[in-house]
Amino acid sequence: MTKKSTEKSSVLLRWALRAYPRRFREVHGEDLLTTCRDLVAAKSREHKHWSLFWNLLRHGLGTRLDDVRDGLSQAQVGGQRERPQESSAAAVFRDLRYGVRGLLRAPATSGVAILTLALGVGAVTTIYSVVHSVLLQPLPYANADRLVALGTTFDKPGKPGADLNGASVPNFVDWRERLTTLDELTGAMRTSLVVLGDGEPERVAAAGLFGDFLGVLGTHTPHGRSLSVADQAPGAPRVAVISQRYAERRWGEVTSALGSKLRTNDEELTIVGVLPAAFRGPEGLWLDGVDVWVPRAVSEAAFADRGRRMLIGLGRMAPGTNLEAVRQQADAVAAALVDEYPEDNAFQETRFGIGVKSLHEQTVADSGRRLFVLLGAVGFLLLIACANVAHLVLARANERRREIAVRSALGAGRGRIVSQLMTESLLLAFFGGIAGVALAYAGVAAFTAWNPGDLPRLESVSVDRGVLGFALVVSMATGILFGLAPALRLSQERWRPSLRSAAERHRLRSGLVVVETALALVLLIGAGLLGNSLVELYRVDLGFEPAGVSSLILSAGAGVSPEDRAAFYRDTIASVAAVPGVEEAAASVNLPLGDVFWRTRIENGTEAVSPGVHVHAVSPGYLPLLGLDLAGRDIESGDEEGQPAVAIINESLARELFGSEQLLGQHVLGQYLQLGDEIGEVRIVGLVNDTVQSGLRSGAEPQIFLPYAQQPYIGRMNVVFRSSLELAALAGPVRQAVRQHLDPTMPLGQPVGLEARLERAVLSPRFYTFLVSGFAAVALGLAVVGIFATMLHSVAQQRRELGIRMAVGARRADVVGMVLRQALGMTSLGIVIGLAGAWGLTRFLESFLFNVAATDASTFGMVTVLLSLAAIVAALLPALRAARVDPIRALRLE
Amino acid sequence: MSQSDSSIRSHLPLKPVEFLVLAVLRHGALHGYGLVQAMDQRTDGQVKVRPGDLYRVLYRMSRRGLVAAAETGSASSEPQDERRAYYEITDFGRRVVEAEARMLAGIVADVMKPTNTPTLEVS
Repeated sequence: MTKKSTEKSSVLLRWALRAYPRRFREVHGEDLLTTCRDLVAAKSREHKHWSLFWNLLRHGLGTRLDDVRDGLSQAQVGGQRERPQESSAAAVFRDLRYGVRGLLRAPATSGVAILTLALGVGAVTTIYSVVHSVLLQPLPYANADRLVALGTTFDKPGKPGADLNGASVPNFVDWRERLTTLDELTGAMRTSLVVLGDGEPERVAAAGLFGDFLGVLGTHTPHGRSLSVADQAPGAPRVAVISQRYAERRWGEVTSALGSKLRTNDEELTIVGVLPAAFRGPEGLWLDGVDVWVPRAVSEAAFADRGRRMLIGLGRMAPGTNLEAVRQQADAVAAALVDEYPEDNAFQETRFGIGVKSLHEQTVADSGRRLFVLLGAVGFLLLIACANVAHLVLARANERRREIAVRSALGAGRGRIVSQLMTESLLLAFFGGIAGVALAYAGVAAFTAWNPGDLPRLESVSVDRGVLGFALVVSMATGILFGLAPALRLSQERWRPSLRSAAERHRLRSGLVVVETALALVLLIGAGLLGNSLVELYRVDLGFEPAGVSSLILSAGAGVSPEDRAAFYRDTIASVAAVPGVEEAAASVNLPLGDVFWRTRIENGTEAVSPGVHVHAVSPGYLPLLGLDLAGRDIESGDEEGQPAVAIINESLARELFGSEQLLGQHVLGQYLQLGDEIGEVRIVGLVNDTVQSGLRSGAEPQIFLPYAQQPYIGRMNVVFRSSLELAALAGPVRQAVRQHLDPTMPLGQPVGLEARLERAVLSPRFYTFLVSGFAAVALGLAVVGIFATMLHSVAQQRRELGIRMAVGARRADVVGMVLRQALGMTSLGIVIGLAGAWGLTRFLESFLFNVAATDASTFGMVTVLLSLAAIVAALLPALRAARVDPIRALRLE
Repeated sequence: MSQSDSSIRSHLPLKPVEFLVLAVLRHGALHGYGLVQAMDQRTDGQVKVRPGDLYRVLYRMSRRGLVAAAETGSASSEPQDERRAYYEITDFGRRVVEAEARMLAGIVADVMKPTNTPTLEVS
């Protein structure tokens, strides 16, 4: 061992020795160190200096505990021993007793401090609970860390696709054979079943499974049996496993569900098992909320088609492999499959890859980024709360300077005084922490109830033991943070409260104000940016009029001929339009702010090509019903099968195909377009303005509207109606009108207002904006209180100076100005630091923002003005008090 | 029953490390490092006591009057070392460890005695 490391070791061990009680150290301290040195010198393996360090630390604390135990048993015997030097345990108890007494002596101050801390700790604990459950906890499946999600990725040259998409069954079967790094690969496909029964047919969420999917998840079936691979063989009896929730809803209890039949449009399923109540399908595989699990629900044709991608894979990594190895193998397999089946596994320059993600990563997706922004925000809030409590502790300690002076005169060492003051701070933090945890329970309930809609696993969020431990650590850390500086400062002063130390105290307070202002500014700017972005979202020009419009999705049923289907929709629309209170009715395959299931390529002669145009099949009257501006003519009832194919396009598509000049003269009307292979040539008969389609953020997209009667492939459609009546009053009559025509085995949902769909689109941005704004408002409030308290204190300190100034002729306005200048001086330093911090930090908000730059100058400016004004308001009362100082009394006080 | 008997009993049973320390010290005073080595030898390397544990036990036993600081070491094979503190067993400690040994001897004898329990026939 070198000399240097010997020195390091002995410093380390000497430090660890402090864990032992002093009495021990006096007798055995040096000897213990000597023995340790002997052991290290003997180069014994188990006596490395770090392990000795921990050994001493552990037994040092253990010896202290022994002392406490012995002390207690001695006390019970009756204190025969002579009174020893006070043990450290007794000192801690005494500090605690004094601490509680001290807090009770100033109940208002203590109450405010505890409340402030509770706000900070509560907010941090709430958000941490969410982070803990959503991001940190393993998924609730067996071997969750070995589960992987697999899907097709669309890889462009140099830009591999990030999202997992469905895989075709033949590709999936090849993956299964060739991916040896997985010891199990299973698949699932989300679908829905129409369940027939005594009453209305019901649509339930279902999943078709390939392989031992439930087994890979480690799901046990408490009632009945699980699905086996044998159930998937062609010709095997059709069975299903259902969720407990569904069993209870439909049969009342689990036992009567077992063995029952589930009749759907095209088959009968025997229920062989009921899953545990706590089981949930993996959200990352789009299987949350699935009620019926069936083996392989795919037609033979779909089964053999390598081009139909509909399965999502769930694999378990083989022992001894890792994600990287699986990915490498998957890349090789994908490349081979592209070579073998280029027509199904490649499209133009896109190659179909195999994406592999851990199931956790696939489930959590990018929610981590959102949650860490929130965690950062509440972290700032907690720091501000700490600064405020530090103000209070300073003020309280200031009142007790005499007491401290007396105690140190009587021989209390600096350590005793610091530990006494720290005990009080830690007690405050402890009570604040308890109140904060209580707040966190409410906070978690509120957070999950007001679900932002874009966080997975929210139902599992709770304040559990891990979170409570976190809250305890956070509280204690805050206690040290806000208690240590004042304690050290005061104990240093002892009993010479000189002018210099008063100035130092003021500097400490000003420093706290600077920190608070800077933190509050960052939060306010964050809230301002989110707020502006939300306003931008609300201001998006929809291009249509959603007020009073509702829709109801329905399907004519399987096996209906195209003519009958067109007649069915025509009659249904007419019946809905005839319902009293309904002003207009129409139908469309897609709705604004919804998924578009059909995109195609459009050619204009030989030149312009628009690759991904949204295709809508609509009924006559749909576009006017939504309030679109239409040039040319609408789809008419005569645009049927067999008649010339017509279309209406929107401005974006027209601009893309014909350029802006043509658009002005409406030369597009009468032009012909070539639509992919399925539709062929259509003539443009109308032009409509752009509308929002995929989402509020996506901007104008090229769209084309075709008469539904000319499109034989249509399955489900939305019947749309406009009324000035409440939807609740109309829902019954409208459904009744639809039922007259609808196949009784087809399900019928409830109508939904278009405005409700719009609300859903702003749910998540609104949630984050309101949350961060709430934090920022509390931060601003705390900062204002901090500035107020500091200025009040500072004015009191400067009484004499103010008195002299006024005696020699300063006017009241001068005094007010002086105090305000002081306050602004403190805050402007905080503002400068805060602006710099915000400049660096707002980039993390970028993904939340819409049409607002992360460093938006007007937001930065407005927030700066707001905070300065708040500082002036906070300083106003102390300034006015300063102006009321009576010079004679102020001077006489000295 | 005499007064000292009941006070001996109040220290029983000893913890294994305490028992070992006393057993080793019966042969003479030792310093800390010597104790670690002696305990290692006595148990064929089965018990490797760490210094933190050892001094905690020494401290506890000295407060209970079972061991005390010695003027010098006696039975140590090494030359005596001025830097180190030596520990020796007190008379009281000797009586406690002997009482513990007597109690253990009874248990040990019982464990070694063949039992009448029939064994399972394994075919």
